[in-house]
Amino acid sequence: MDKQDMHTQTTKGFANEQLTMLSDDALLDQFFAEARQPVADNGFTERVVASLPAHTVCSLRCLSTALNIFTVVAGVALLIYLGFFTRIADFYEMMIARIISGIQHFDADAMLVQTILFIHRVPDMLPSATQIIAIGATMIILTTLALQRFVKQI
Amino acid sequence: MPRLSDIALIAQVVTFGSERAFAQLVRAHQEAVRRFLVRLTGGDQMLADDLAQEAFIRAWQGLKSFRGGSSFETWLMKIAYRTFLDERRKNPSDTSTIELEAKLTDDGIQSPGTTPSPSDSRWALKHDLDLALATLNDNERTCIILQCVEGMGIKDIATITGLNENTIKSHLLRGKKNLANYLRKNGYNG
Repeated sequence: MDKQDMHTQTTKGFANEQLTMLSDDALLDQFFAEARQPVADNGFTERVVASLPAHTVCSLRCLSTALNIFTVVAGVALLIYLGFFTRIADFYEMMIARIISGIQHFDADAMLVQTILFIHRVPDMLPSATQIIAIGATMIILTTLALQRFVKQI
Repeated sequence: MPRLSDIALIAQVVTFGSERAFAQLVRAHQEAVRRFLVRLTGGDQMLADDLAQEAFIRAWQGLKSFRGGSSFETWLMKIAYRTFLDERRKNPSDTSTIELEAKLTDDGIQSPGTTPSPSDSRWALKHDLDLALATLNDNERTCIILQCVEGMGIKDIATITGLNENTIKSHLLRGKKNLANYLRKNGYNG
């Protein structure tokens, strides 16, 4: 028996053993089961990565750097335009002045009254829709910057 | 729709040109792409790997154009299929060896002279698989591989091949019938 005959017999024997009088779909399903075997990577991924064209990487990195610079400049410009830094400075100045004033004129009765009034007025002190939008926009910009820095580190 | 992990990796590749993220995408999808191309090339593993490598490089270059309308794997398979068609247009002889072999085999499924071992029934079955597929026309073969081997739906097959869904259904029906007849004629199914 030559090599060719042996192979044919093996194939047909295997087939006969496995598949007996099946419908078209069942027959094909069993026949194709062998073709669905997992394919090992065997260094394929490394070969692909090693052959990636460099110019595309460069252009993407340039785009990434440009995007970072643009986001930072736009974020800072927006904060200056909204007067964010001035307001922060004013706020701290006012806070310090009030603390000093409070220490100088401490009055327990007045403090109690002020506390009750403060609690009573809390609902009126909630921010307006415009303020929420402005705070939200600032938060988004700051989060984007933080995320970009985080992803870049990865 | 693309998987969330794929989207995160694609975003890293597009924004930062991350080769590490792209390597993860290749590792996750190389199996389907290479298996598809092996069957399309009639079992030529080396040619299939070359084509798969070319397909992944094209994917790397064109990742910005991925819109997420289909899964990333379907998008990759489409590129792989186009790479295969381009190769066949350039070198028709490279991808038609198995077809010629099948046509020359009057008695249906037979072993070539290069059979590694007669006891290796798995190898023999794989070879028979390629011979059986070679009896189908190009469109029937592609549709059958995508559905029966890769388990893809009609919609995905339409995206990959660019064929109409009804045309695909008729290719699948005719292809399965022809393939089953061919297999029965050659000793399968008792």
